[in-house]
Amino acid sequence: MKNLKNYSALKDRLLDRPAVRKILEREQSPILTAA
Amino acid sequence: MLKLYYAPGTSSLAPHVLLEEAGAAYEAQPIQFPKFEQQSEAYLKINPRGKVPVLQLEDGQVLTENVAILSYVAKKFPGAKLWPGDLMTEVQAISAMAWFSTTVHPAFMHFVRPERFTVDATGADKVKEQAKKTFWSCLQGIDQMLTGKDWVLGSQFTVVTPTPWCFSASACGPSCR
Repeated sequence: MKNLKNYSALKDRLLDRPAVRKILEREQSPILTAA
Repeated sequence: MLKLYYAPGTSSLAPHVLLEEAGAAYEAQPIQFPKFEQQSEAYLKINPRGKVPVLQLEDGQVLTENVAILSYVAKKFPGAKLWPGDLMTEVQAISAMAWFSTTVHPAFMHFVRPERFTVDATGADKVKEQAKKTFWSCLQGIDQMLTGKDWVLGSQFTVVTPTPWCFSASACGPSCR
C-alpha cells in the first residue's frame, strides 16, 4: 500500500488525531504497533 | 445513551471513530468474533443478521449498516460539522459511502474471506486471486479520490473520512500489497 501515496498520507493524518488513536487503543488495533 | 456494538478489526471502526470525533456520549460494546458472539442468541435479538456495527439509540431503536449509522451520527451532532453543509458535497458524501459499502467492502471480503464465496473446496484460491485485483483497483480509486485533498471531501474531516481507511486498519488489510 506504500505505492498509494495519497492513501498512505490519509492513514498518517488519521493517526495524528487523538480520537482515532483512542479508538485504536480501545480496539487494540495492530495498526498502532505497525505505525 | 447511544450504544455501539462493534468488533475489533472490522468496518465498525468507522462509526466507532465518528462517535468519538462527534464528542458523543456513548457506550462501546465489543462483540468478540473469535468467540462467535455475533451469532449468540442475545446478539441476534439485537441484530438478526448477526453483523456489526449496530447503533442502539436512546429509545431502544436499532440502526444497522455503516451508511445509516454514519449519517445518523453526523446529523445528530451538527456541532462537530461532520455532515457536509452544501447539497453537492452532501450527495458526494452519500455517493462515496455507497461505493465503499457496495463495491469496496465486498471486494475486501472476497479477498480476506474467499472461502465464504465458493462451494468448491479448491476454489478459494481463485476467488482470492481475482478479489486481490478488484480490491487493489478499489484502493487505487480511493487514492485517486484523495488527490490534492487532506480528506475524501476536501479540507474538512467529515462523515466519509474514516471508512476508506478501515480496510487497511483491519487485521487483514495490510496483506493486500
